[in-house]
Amino acid sequence: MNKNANELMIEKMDLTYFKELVKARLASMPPEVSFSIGAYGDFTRDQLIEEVENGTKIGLAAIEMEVNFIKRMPKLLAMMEK
Amino acid sequence: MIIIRANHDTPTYYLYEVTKQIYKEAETYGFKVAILEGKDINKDALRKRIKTHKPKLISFNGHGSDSSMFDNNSKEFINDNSADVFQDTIVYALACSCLNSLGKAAVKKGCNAFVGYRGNFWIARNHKSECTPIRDFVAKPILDASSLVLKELIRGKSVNDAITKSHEFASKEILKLIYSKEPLAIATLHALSNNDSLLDYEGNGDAKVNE
Repeated sequence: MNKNANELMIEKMDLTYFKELVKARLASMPPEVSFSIGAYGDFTRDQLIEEVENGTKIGLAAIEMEVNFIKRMPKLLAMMEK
Repeated sequence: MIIIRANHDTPTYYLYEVTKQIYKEAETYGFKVAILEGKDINKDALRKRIKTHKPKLISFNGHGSDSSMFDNNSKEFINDNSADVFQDTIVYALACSCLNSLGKAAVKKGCNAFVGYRGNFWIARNHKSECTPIRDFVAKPILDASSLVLKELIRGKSVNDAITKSHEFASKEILKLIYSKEPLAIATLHALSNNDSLLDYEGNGDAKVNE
């Protein structure tokens, strides 16, 4: 299977670093939040933290979401400066 | 216009509720709307409806993969091999990843434009609002940005313009969320930013439904 740009970026950098980053982001959210991730199903904040910790497909999807957000940050910062 | 809408779990229920508003708006723009839902979401029923209605626009809300759309039982009902079903239409697939392979296959087989997402579509939700999705303030900006694409197509905008409008809306919401003091805003922010970065199309960006 071809790897997308985010998967390659995660592979190049340290996966452990991304795991810790995403877990910290999720832990900062209130517990009443939950996420539907396409056909993977529904996850509470704590379930998602566990998926990230275990490095499951769902956990990797959460990491990919964070990578998308980081990649977008320069554009967001430019917008905020306007 | 044909609206295909699955409704068998929480995310599809959220998307289902949103299409109720769009359905009404489409009728005010003179569209005859045919709806496929429940057990009618299958390839044969879709082909039959297309033959009868000759739709310019097909909207799909449900689960998807790179090469498939899934029915109300989470089983594949359209894939790359049956993508010819979208010939001469504009498709909006509010589903994960469909654009990657199915979108390309559809355009190769005569679809005017296929709008969708290049990865997982996320919905951030508030537990307390699960029974009333349209009142879920955590999900609202996500649902509004995604439904705006379809609304703009219905209003006669081109594929490019509809996507641009959605990006502009998402950007404004993202800025609001960054500055928000609401603790749940961070969940919306991440999901909205993710989905917006994955929204794209295959085919003719200048295509419009009223041409």
